[in-house]
Amino acid sequence: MDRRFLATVLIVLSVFPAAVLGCGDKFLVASRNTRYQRAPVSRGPASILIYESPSSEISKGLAGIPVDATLRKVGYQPTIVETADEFDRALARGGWNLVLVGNADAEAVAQRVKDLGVLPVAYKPTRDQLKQSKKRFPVVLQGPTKGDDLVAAVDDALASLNKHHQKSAKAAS
Amino acid sequence: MRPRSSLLIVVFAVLCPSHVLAQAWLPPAGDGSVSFTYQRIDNTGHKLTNGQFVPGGKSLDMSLYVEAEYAPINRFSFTVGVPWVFAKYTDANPPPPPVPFLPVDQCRCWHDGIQDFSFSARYSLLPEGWFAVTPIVAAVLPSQNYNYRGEAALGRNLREVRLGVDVGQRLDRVLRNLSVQEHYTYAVVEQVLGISTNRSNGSFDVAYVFKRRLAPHGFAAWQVTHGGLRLGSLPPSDLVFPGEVNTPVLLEQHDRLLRDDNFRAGGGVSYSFSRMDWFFSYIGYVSGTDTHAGRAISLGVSVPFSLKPARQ
Repeated sequence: MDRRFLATVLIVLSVFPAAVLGCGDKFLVASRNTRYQRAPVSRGPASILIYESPSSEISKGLAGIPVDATLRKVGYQPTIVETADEFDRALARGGWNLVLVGNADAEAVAQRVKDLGVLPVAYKPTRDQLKQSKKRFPVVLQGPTKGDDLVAAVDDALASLNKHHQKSAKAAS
Repeated sequence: MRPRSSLLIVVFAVLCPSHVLAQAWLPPAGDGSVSFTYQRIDNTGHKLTNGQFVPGGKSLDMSLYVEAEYAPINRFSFTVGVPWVFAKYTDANPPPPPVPFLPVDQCRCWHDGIQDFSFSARYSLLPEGWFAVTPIVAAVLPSQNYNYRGEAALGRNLREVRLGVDVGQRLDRVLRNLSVQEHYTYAVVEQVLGISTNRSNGSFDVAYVFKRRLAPHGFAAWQVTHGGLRLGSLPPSDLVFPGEVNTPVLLEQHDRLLRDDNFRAGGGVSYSFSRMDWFFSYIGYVSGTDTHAGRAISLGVSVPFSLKPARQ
């Protein structure tokens, strides 16, 4: 080390007890945890039957959403039927995990498919209508809605169904 | 785009300033986001080579950061970002000689400019699921030949390339919607005066999501510099100030040559609306040697978008 340099430093140190270091970081990107940085929702390839007759609440509630593409993109297997005959045939065929129907039809459908999840879609419901539906079904999707909310509602309805099945299995054993 | 250009983009994708950013899971094909972040860093003093805190050399940094991320195919995404940095020296006292009191600090005024372009590319080794392993390659490239000396500098004005990996795991067995992510990168930094300041950065992040919208998280991050110079400590000490910065040439370059080892911890929260996510985070500078003491807060918005995915 340069002796004169060292001597200068030692003299100065006796006057300035606080040393100043380098500039360090001027910018840090902290973890933001926004939607694409989070762990994805755990999803299985659930089969979803959607009864979307042209006049039903579900058509209005999900208007503007590419329902099939939105659900397929996250790994679900949706099937959309538009008539009562097609819906009946599809139910008879079986293999569904969840059924999406208009709020007005939800109770009747729930009576027919006791082991499946039913997700009602209510288009601009009144407070009372919504309250009634929520008493009966764990998840109710309110329309008009967006694709993200549709996926979230399906996720929640399936999670709720799983819990129900687990409880039933425990009770049976 | 020519293949050579594509290669350059991937190569320079390793130098981003995301020291504390773990991201093991990627957007689905065709999705991406543009983020705007405001950050304020209060440098409340310095930590010496022996870890002792000294309150001198205070400064304030603020940044506006724009970043875009896009996943052209499933399991692969790239990110481009650049911060606009503002810095000023705020301490009432000058630095202790031999550290020069540069005009950039003497005025105690704001200095600003575009700092470093950052590019990163991530590839997830596993299909989307409860466990993710995602190697990263990133690059940082100074946008201009900015000043790197003094506290009111915009940055270190050095290129670097990073290689690393993010690992993420859902902890549904403990609690549904709980997850952890770990992050490690090794940065190869442009040498100054033949001195290496390559470094390792790691972080651990734990997050929980309420109703898919509200997501609090906490994290801890560390940095170890492999090389660099120690600036010493107050006497009595094994290495008295200015330590290994023992020539005028080294002193001139010391701002970007220090062996900056540090440990930081913080937390944040994000909230997802249908068309955007808002986020806030706080980082506390817990401990370190040859580094700043201080804290940082960040506030921003991330706007997701969807484009037609590339064919796979």
